[in-house]
Amino acid sequence: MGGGGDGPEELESKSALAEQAANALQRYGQTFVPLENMYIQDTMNMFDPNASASEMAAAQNQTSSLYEQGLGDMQSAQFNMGLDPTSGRVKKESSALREAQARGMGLAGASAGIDYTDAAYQGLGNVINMGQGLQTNAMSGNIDRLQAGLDRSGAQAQSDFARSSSLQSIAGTGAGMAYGSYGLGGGG
Amino acid sequence: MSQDLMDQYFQMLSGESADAVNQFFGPSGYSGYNSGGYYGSSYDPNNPYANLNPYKYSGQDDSGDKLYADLIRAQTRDYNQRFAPLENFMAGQITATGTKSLGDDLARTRSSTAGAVANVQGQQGRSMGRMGLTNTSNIANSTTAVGGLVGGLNDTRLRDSDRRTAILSGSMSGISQKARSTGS
Repeated sequence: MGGGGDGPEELESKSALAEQAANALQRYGQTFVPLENMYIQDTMNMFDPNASASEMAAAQNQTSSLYEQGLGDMQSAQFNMGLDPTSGRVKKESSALREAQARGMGLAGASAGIDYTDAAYQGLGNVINMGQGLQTNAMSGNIDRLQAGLDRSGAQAQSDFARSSSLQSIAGTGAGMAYGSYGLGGGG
Repeated sequence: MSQDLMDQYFQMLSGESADAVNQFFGPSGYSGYNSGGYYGSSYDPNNPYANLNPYKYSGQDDSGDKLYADLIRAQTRDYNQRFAPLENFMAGQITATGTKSLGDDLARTRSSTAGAVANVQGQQGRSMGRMGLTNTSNIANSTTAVGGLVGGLNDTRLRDSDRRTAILSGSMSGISQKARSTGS
């Protein structure tokens, strides 16, 4: 065979390798490209300004529950100590904790929103790595992000409750044990 | 010449020849041709390699080389169509101080803080109401809430700046390094 050229004839194996590569590329196109496109679409949807709303609300709710338990314990402690609900001490203490709760919830929600934006960029980075033919890193999912935010909220709540004298006074009681059991009692 | 005949004609040609024909005759209107080169047919982003024919050059001289050239062109077009716009988007997100997401992040921080204050104000009112008391506190104006908002906004800016650094030293630096090495 040959076209009458002067150069050496192409090896048969080269043609076979090219055919193998073409088959592999077709299979990639059929099976994996639609999945890649799905991931790309999901990633781009994360850049929508409202996409993080549910994650932010979840973070706020979870943080609120951390404070709710402590506030309930504080109220019980105040009653047990015979404090008048209209007294300055009770009002001041519950107000301080409510303000701390508002701050904690607000910051937890905000942080969840920023985490979500970070995740969008991380996803976009993964897509770009795909395009460059590089291995991509697994990104943390919704639950991981929420847990990381809750860990931060829990630490803040612990510090807020440590300032409540009513809660400090019930350490060692049944309520105090409960207070410690949800991880807010601290070690010191 | 009808579009079908044009398609058939271009499919008989090698990629190189198809490019040459297009350049010589100007825009041919051929559906499978774009500035990235010839790839056999129109581009389907959900199956971009469907029109590759592994046996197109069987029996011809340098059939392996010609097929490899088609594969490289097909990959280049797929990259240009699906990934290059996203790289441009990512690069376009970077600003002098952070990213273009900062505005949305700041708005979310504000709304999260304001929403939390309103929520807790309501909770406090209901809690005091159960004891027959009137809630006179104004959490929104408290130092804690205002300080939380300011701290949250500062934190948002810092994290956006960190994000910019991460992008520049991560994905974007990988692209520029690869682009540089490809040309050498």
